[in-house]
Amino acid sequence: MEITVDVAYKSLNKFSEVLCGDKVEMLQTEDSHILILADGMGSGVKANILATLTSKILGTMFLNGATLEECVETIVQTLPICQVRQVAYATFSILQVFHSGEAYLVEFDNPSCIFIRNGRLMPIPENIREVEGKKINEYRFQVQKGDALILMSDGTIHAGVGQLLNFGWLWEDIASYAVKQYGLTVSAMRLAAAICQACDELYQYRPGDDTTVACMRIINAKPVHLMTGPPQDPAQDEEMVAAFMSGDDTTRHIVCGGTSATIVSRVLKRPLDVSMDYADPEIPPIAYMEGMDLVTEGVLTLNRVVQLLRSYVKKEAVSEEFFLELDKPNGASMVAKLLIEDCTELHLYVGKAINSAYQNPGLPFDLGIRQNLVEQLKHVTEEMGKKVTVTYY
Amino acid sequence: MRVTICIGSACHLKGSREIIQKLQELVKANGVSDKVDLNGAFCSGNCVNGVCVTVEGELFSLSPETAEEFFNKEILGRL
Repeated sequence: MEITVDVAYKSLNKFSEVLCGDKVEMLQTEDSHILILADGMGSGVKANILATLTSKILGTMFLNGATLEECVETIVQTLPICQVRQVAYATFSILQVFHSGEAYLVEFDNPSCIFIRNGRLMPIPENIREVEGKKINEYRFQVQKGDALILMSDGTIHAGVGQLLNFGWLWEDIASYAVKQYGLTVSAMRLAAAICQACDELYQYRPGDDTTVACMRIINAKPVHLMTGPPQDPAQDEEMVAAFMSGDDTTRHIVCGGTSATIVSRVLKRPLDVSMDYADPEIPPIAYMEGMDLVTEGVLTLNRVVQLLRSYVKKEAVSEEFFLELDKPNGASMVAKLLIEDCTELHLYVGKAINSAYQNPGLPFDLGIRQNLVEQLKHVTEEMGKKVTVTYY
Repeated sequence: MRVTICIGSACHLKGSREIIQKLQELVKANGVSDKVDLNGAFCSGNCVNGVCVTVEGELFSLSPETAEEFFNKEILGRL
């Protein structure tokens, strides 16, 4: 069975630092997903450079099929040497998961990966190999649907040290907190954010070290089909709706647009039930139709969706408040939530018809911008690491 | 009596929400909740004018300012 992954991370900067000394790379090859977390020595600019170099070298070389030995050798020879400490140093973890379910974990001096299966912690056996004088742990295993794997920088286990906790947040305690959150959350981002949030609290909101949690959850592919806009030629109505309705029972269907919804309703002969509940004064109410996961108004809603996804992609905004916004019952939050948390690939079915009434300069918002919005939606969804296709009609 | 108010993009920008609020208040204040059934609807295809409202299939164009007059004439007037 083909599997895919939901992957996300969250970082806290050391208090008063502008740059983070941890760096995460999320990459895809033809047949695998790769997650890399590097933690540069020290903090600020120096750490940021070390971590960025390390994660980029590992990522680029891995993508091109280099062996672990070659990667480590390159890092050792490339990293600039710290004048204070006379060493070049960054710790790292690499997790590669193939579509077949095969997984490969490499760890060097980071806190060990937390591996959760069926709500229980799984041990990661010790299998140390020395490469270029560095003791590196390797583990090859098989993942299955539902598994969660969490990579961390040592800012997590140092949380609260000497303040709220004598010895920081012990790995075992983080792991049991992660197991609890695993049961409470669905997406990788919520799990990463929950652990990061707890670290921030233990640090009393003044992190003593850069702190990063990167999470990968193994899931089945979750395709989302989104239709917006009527086709340029009304004769294409049926063809467009048929393409939009394709897929199996795992496919989610969203219609964004009043006219589009009316077309779908007519073609499928399913009644459309439009609600009058303004959950948000700026976003028109949603509607209901049998077999549709969501039916919303078009451009105003999509405009807000793009804004929400943008702030999600810019990591700074992913706080508890962001998720509260995402949980709101307005059309835009509902679409954004589905795209962030319950989607691995997005297929857009976009009509190019222009509503002449929208070309009205008296309106306070340019409604003729659907295609522009669709382009923005495509880019921001791709930035989240998801596959996007667009079909125009 | 079935009354539908368009909440599509263009009508929304012209004040669907205010009109729905006003009509809901007026229906309540006049004690005709059991006779008037207010519904939302998507585009009625007349986006050029005001907010599209249909009463028993007949199409009207409203603005928030004309909502009360419309209610008295077209809704109360027909009951």
